[in-house]
Amino acid sequence: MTTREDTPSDIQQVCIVTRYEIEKHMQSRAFIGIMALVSLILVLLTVIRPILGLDFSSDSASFVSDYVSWVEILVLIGAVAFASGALSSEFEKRTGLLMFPQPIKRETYLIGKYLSALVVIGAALGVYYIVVAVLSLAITGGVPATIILSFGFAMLYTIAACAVAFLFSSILKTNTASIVAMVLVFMMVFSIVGALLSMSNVDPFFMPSNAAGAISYSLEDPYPVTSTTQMGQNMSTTNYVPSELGATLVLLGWAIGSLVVAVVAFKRRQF
Amino acid sequence: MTQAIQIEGLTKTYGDFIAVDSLSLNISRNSFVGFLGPNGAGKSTTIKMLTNLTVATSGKAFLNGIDVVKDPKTALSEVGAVVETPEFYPYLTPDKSLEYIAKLRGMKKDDIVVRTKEVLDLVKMSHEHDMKIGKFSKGMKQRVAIAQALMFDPSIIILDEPTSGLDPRGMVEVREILLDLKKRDLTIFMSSHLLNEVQGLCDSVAMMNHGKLLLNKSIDDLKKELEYTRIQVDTIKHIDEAARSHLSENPCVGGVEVSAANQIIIEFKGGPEDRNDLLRRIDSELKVTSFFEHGNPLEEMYMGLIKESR
Repeated sequence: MTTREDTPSDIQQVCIVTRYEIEKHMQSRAFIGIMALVSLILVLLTVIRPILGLDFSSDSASFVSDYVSWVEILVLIGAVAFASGALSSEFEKRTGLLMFPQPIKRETYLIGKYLSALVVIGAALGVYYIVVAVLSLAITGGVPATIILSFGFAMLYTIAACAVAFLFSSILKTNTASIVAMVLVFMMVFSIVGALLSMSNVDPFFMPSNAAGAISYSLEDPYPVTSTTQMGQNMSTTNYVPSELGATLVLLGWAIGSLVVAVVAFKRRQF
Repeated sequence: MTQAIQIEGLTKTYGDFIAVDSLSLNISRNSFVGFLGPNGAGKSTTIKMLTNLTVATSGKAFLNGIDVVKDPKTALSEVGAVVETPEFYPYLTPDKSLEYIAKLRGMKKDDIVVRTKEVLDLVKMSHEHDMKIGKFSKGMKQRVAIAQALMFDPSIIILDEPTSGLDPRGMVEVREILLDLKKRDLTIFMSSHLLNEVQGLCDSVAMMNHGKLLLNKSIDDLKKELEYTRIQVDTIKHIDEAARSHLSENPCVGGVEVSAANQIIIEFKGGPEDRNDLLRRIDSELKVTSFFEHGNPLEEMYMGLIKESR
């Protein structure tokens, strides 16, 4: 018989949950789906350009930038696939009836699941960046060092997006509701609000979608800054570029804030 | 603390609705207690509060002396539970699911391998140990759920309607498992709607309705308390009014109901000698083909208590 002394510590249990959740994700259709999507984007970008008679950029940073522009969408699809239903499904699909009576704190379980989502999405992104680096080396003869920085920001965006997905998943009743909320907020609400703020000459620095711009901007050397273009006598447009530090803080802020609310909501949620 | 489960003033409210109303109940070690009540009585809510699925509004519930409301992780460390029909992750096999749960409980790798085989054998799922659970029927999943509750050899097992939704064969198999568990040093607390099941398996029953505890007694005491036993008698001769009224005059008979031309139900009160005497008299008059206790004393007690508490 196992006794209360045998029960692993919270940190050990986080590692156990993370390990088995990763195993679960790896065997899911969602993982096959995201790897198929990664392959599809890579194949299309690499094959269609020559077919249309367009040349690849000879500059490695510019070459990599074409591929990296798809990373934001990959992160969001990953967050929807591996994080949006992570908590709501425990109630909707009744797996919580099996897991919650085990001697494990809800927050421990949540953190383990969250880390597993990060690892799985990170693995898909890692494969994507490695293939892009190999293609860049093969086609342009070089790989920009900034690709590592770009991958770092992609992971930061994953950390924030997954946390927001966990927040929706902890509050909303069904997987479908959390997926719809995630898609609406990231693809519509943040885009519309960000665009309206820019038009009003307000820096949307606090928007995660704006901070995620650092994924592409970080490939440029030197790192760009916010610039205003005069359009006629009384009109100008401003391209708000998040600073590297600013983007990091905003994405971490969204991640921590969302996770704290998600933990509180998940602990209060009942069968 | 000698009690395996000790509930003190446990209350759960949903807005104005009181699902469990100041429930107090003690369950001794190594006992098998049936938890009864109609739908909405508060049984499942009580079990969910005991298993960290629902938070109590007030009150305390101790599992092996540890308050599950305050410290669910420690309180549940020696408790196995099957609440309703839990679902497993469909992509995992029984082996992998049991391994996951065993690791969370701190079991060692070698023990997990041995114990997984033992519990899957016990629930007759060893042939399916490496199949994905997503393909399993409800009954198969329920058996794996029982296996996970037994995996770490708990001191307390909490079961919420473990045979619910199973086909007759599955119900018999789960009952056989429970009978086997009864022989071990275990405390089992099981809610069920099936009174025959509870009477056959449990040492005692706790009954609730409208969130309140109505009764907490041993099955033997319940039987003693019932004033009359219903006996069904089948006869060769036709039972006419004269025969019925003659039987009613017997001082051990509280009532006679003619349920068919050759069948009567007698409400009987008395000892074995009185019963034997009654049998002889009916046999001499009507030629008895069968004579046996009709119905379930627990069912009669249940119906009486539930009717009173309406």
